[in-house]
Amino acid sequence: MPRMKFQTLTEQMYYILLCLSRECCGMDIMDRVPAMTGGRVQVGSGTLYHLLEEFVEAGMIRETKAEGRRRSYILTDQGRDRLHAEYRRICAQAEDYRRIFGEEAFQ
Amino acid sequence: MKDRKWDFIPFSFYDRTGMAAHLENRAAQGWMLERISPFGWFYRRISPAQLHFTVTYNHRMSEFAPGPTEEEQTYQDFCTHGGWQFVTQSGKMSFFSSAEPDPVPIETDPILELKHIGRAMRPIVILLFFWLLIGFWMGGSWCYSLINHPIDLLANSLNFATGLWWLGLFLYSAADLWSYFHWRHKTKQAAQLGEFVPTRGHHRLLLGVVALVAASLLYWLLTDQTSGMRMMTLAWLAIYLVLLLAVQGTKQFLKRRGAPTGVNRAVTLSVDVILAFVLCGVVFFFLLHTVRTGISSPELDAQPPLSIEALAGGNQEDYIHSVRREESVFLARLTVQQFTNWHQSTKASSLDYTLLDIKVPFLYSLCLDDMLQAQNTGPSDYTYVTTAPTPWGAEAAYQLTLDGEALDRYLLCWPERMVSLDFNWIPTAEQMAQVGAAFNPAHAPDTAE
Repeated sequence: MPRMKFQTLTEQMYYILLCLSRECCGMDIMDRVPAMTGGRVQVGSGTLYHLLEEFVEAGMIRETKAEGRRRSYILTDQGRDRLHAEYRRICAQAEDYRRIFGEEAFQ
Repeated sequence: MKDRKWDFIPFSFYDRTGMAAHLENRAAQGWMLERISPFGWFYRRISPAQLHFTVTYNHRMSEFAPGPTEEEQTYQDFCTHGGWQFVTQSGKMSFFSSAEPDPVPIETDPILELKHIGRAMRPIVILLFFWLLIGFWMGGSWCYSLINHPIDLLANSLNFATGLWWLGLFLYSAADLWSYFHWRHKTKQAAQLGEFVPTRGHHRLLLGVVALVAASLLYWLLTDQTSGMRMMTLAWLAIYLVLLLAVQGTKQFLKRRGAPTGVNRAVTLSVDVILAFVLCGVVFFFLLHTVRTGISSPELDAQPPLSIEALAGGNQEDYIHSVRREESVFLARLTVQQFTNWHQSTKASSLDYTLLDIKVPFLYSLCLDDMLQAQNTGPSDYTYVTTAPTPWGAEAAYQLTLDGEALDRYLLCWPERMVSLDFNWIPTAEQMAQVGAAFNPAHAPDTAE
């Protein structure tokens, strides 16, 4: 059965939304995500562009201002809820891991 | 040293891997892509460089747009920020290059990329399915004819050539559709793991098909002996070329003038349709004019080897006759029909015959089978039975029968030649000898040439 759109977020989606917890220009996200993750996660320019479009369509972010072609966005309440749900899902996964392997896994 | 060059490689639309690899090779050779048109890919000289290329797809882009929309410019800004320089655009495809040794790809989400390629491919898939059906129908009919009625195909260069075109079209569209959907299926699975699957198109196959079409067209032009057919063929080719140039010219002109996408599309399409009608009208006008004023050519002016008046007496004016000549590298066929005007009343009222010269010996038995089966198309039981060849001076002779009753149609065979004759009277021994003398290749000249 196909998954509902944005029911779970990919790593790229997660970090894009995280960057937009504060107002941010679309292009700047491309630099912020690698900086935030130590280079572990990188978002391609085309992927970022299309994801921003889809997030706006889904009401998860909204455009705040446009300076020429530079557009800034910020997370909406709906987007914040979705991000928070994703955080809880990741935490639940981490908790499951901790329960199976115990604290020694982190030492 | 030239600073510009072009090539024509008909990549499959979805073959982003093949296109990128080709452009990377060209850049390493010192050629940078400048623009893409229906006539090929055009390059300018650069210092040889190890560049990366990528192709992206956007179904909202249009080849009729006067320039990049704000949305497209924003997309290009994003790519520039990501280290990718916009190179050119062709229809729904954009080409980018990067000089960085290990650039972050423009597309880092395979599911999103698949979605965009899928949307951009929709009209192409419809077109490919259309070609597949047409190619299957026409190419299949051609194969059926080649097996069951080879003479009609092999004696006529046009019939032979067009069959190869349809088969080529079928082969290419089938291969391209299969590859696309196979790639799509694999990509869907791999995308769940975040993996990209390289594409594999069929530009080599399409180049082969284009070469086959060009070769068969050349074969047709060189071998078709039908009067005026070469001129007609060249006229049709000229129409296609004029239409292509007119469409491209109109589209580019309106783009330069900044016409909106919808206006450009509507005007270009209108010009295309109107011009096609006008040019076809001109060709048909000249065709009708030529038919009305009479066609004169050495082929048609030559007298057929046998006439009804030579056999049964009478004047040439008493008969209406038609002569049709076809020739290819395999066969030459001459079809002659003579019949009286309606007010004439003679015993010998009609004669028709088909003279077939077989230029390639291994086709002889195939053609003989076809000639023997030629009448056997309806529910009636028409059968050729052997008859004495000596009165005809032939090596073999057959007479047509209907439900066991002999008819006045004969098939006469000599090495490399066979003749099917239909009398409406019973020929005398003298007339048989006269027929033999007219058609025997040992006595008569090669009449089909």
